[in-house]
Amino acid sequence: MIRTLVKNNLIACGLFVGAFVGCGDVFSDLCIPDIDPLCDFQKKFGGYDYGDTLHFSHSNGYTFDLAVVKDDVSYRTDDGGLYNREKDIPCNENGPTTAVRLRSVRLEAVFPMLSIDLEMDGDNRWSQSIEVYMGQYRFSLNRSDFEEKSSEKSRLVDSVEVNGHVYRNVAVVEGVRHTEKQYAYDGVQGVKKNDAPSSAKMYYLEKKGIIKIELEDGSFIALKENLK
Amino acid sequence: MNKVICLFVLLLLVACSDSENAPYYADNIKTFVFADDISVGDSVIYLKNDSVDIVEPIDHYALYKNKVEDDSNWTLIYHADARALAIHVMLEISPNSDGGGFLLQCGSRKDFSISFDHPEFPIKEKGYMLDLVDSFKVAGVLYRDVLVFDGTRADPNKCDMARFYYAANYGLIKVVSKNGIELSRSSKSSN
Repeated sequence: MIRTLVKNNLIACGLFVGAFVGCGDVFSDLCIPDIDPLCDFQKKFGGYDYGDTLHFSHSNGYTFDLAVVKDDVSYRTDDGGLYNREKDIPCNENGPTTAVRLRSVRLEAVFPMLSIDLEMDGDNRWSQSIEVYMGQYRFSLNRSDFEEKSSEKSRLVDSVEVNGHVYRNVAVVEGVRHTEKQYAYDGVQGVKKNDAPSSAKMYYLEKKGIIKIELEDGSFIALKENLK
Repeated sequence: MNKVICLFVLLLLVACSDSENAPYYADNIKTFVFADDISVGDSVIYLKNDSVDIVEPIDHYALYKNKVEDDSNWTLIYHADARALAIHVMLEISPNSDGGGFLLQCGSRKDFSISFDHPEFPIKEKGYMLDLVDSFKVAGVLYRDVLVFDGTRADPNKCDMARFYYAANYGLIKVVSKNGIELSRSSKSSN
């Protein structure tokens, strides 16, 4: 009697768990998010991997190392939510949640206290660019920079010599500089923020990444690869 | 009669609790907020280190918020941003019921924030430290009332610098990199 009761209960539990798992499969299908991926330009730029070290020189005559201290992927949903892992993206009752993949890479030099952030956004409604931030400067890199006369802010040069290396078909983009100025008007204080075109330039190749950054004051940093 | 006394005591308690909760500035913090001449109005300063040949322009400014008749409500907001280097600081000093609090933002895009709410120096928070010294000498110039931020015991230190020094009325006067290179305030850009 007791054995029969236990057996029946186990069968009932099994059916219940089976049904639950079955429903879970249907439900999890709805939970698979529809994600805009990063394009190859964004994924492969510079071949930067976490832990890499790049050698650079400064126009003041010294050399320094830039380390890849961050290479993070995250996800942004339509409602602006940010998630570190794809599996953390919440389900949508009406169908798959749409999201875009983001990638954030940081190159850092303890000395001379340089920090270069590369921000990539997989949203394919627009051109998938790489936004590069250094100090007050921002450079917007795009695959089309390697096409002739694609933009007023970029150009393609046949060759550039940097620290003994000759690089072919290099894209050069002009930057913008972010400034903030305090003002007082009629006793009220405020801040005027502005992104203005700058004479700063970034030289880059898709495969090599950043080759050279020239700033407004004429100073520059440049990649220093080992000479063969 | 008893009711009157009770009511009086109650009113007294309410009045006392109000004054305890009212935001104010402790005396040692007032000097940062009620400066006669905020010379950080000059928009560009220079931090330099002669031995490694670095002269970095820093754009900085300070402004007051909630500037109303009641002086205790003034909040000072200070921003300093290097042109190329990873020196980015936002320091907000505001009154609170403990005598004043500090909000610091740093990191390459000021994406890291930390609050120091109780002005009993040195203030320690999550491995970061904020101290106050009466005076500090930088490049031969003596500055009075200097805040010292130290991130060397935070792991990881999410600010891009080990330490920085902020002088009342003057703003940023010195920055120390994570590997100990010192950049000091200079009055001019040339070496």
